[in-house]
Amino acid sequence: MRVPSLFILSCLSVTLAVFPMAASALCNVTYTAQDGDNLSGVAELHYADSARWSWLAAANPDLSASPDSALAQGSQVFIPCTPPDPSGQTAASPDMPKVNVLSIVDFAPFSSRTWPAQGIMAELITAALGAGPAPLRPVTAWAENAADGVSQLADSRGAEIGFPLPRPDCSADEARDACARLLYSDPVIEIPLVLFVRSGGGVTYQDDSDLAGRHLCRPAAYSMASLDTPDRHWISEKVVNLVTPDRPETCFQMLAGGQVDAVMLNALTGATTIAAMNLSEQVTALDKPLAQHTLHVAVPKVHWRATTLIYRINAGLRALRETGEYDRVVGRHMTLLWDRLN
Amino acid sequence: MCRVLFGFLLAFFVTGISPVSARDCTRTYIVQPGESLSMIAQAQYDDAALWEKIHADNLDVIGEKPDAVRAGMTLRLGCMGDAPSTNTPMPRDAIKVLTASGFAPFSDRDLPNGGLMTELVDAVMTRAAPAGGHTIHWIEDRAAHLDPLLSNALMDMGFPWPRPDCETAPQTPLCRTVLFSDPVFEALVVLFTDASRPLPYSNESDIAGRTLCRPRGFPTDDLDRPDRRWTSDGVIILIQPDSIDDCLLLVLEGQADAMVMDEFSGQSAVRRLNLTGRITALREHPLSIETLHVVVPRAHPQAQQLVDMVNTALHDMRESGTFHDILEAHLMRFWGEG
Repeated sequence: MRVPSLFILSCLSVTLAVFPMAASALCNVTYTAQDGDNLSGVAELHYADSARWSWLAAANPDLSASPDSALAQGSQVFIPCTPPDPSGQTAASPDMPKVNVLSIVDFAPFSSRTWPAQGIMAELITAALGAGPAPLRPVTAWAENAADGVSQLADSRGAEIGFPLPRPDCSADEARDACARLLYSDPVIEIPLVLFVRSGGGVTYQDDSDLAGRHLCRPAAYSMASLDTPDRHWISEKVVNLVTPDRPETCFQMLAGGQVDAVMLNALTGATTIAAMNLSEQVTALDKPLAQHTLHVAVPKVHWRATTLIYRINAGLRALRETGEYDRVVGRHMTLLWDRLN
Repeated sequence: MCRVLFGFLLAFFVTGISPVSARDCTRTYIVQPGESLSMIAQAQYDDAALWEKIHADNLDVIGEKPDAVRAGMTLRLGCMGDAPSTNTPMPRDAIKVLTASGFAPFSDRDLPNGGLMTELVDAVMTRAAPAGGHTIHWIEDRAAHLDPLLSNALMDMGFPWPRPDCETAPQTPLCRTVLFSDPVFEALVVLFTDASRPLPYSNESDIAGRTLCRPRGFPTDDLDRPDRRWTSDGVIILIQPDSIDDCLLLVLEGQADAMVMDEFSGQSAVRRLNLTGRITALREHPLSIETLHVVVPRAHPQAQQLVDMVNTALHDMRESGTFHDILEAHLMRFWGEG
């Protein structure tokens, strides 16, 4: 994961600001076919994976069922976010026992209702649960944000596994409840926490003293654990002025409007938000990350199969890494993100 | 021994003939192998709940702990005023549910409500509400559970039992003898080793020639299945003492290289014996995923109806949250002790 995330970072800080925004890949939308389009080309455009023409064929039964035959210009092609209901052509068989997963609704590109395959994490976890021992097929429900996800899991009446979630530092007081109630998987994705600043705005970051007294923005629902560590007391000693609106978009609006000096977000969520808001010319990511974040799957400890679910995911992820499937999935999503930024 | 026990139990449960009549009460009774007080009470008085009376009348023989009753003990069976006429079997008997202690946190009489599985199964049966009710029988001779007690349908149900892969190995004795409910609980089967003698284990070839311990009465199908013929091909040496505690002590004495048990019962025993730090659980490399079930003897005339009844009640309890509440109470205690 380190390679693709650095790749995105360098895109943001060096090259991307130069390119104008182009058509974005989205899902749960209708695409109007252009002259010369065929299903495999449309699948490549929206999923970075021409093999997913079959998703399009299943979602658009009126259109040609072959990947290479030309679509009539102006044809309306519905682009689903999820694979068709398992009916033989996908790896997940309908007989496979199910597991109820809880995913965060609006955390692109990791998990999102409107990102192909519902996000990188969703696709990796689905693949891991299918590749590990005693395979399971996920049935997805949605949480508003990480905190909502943790509380729904802790309640654990319906949701069995939740993601993507940061793993708290269990030695810290505020993490005690989550650590007492949840088991965490190995890291599924490692991602740098970076500072997004106004291009040419003069804010730099070499060490923490550069940020003293600055106004920094981070959405309230995101973990603040990296801001208060044994050698960093930004919140507890009020070293920085922390602004915590509800949404990443608000942070970037405040950054563009000069109300804050920097936005702190993981590189991919930051890049995705910038792309969606058309801010790639005004906003730059700084090269030096504030921290490395890891995203995990969590399972309530009191669940009837808590430890075996964590084992299935860890073993499945190992298998995906060994076969190279992990890199293929991540690469596909990085290509989509790149296309959105260009 | 099995044939003797079988004949003995058959006399009580299948034909319903009891040697104790209301007139020759206050007599002595010699405990037979595999019997518990509740079983004796059921057989002699048609009411398992009267075991407490038998216990109270025989404190000098049995001692404080009712499960200390052993084969060969001589008990005094007093007159029960309301003992039913012994020659007419109850028209609709209580469902007899079989379990044993020594399997914390799942089933042990010393645990709150008999442990996690006991409380769940009790709640499942209470919800299912069969016409004659149900009684949970603690029969501590675990090795007698599958054969003869379940194989001859002398008990209506048993728990907790791991389910072998009956699709690929239908000839496994367990698969041939019982039907399984939906899974009630899942756990990882791991190796518990002596912390001072690390056992290198990253894949199955590392296990060749090792001596593994699994207490008697616990199925060993996970150690001998089509893709892992550890015992039938002599890959490992399997020793089977009486209890989980015995296995852990044999590991510490160097007589076994590892105990193979589910992580929960192994860890519970490690804590109870104060062996934390001396025993290492190799959680990174589980041997298998074990699902625990309620089982019903295939020989039972209503086998499939009983399984359906359990599954329906289990499903309802999962939907209503009762299942979660019971599990939470037991598992928070388990994790909290960690």
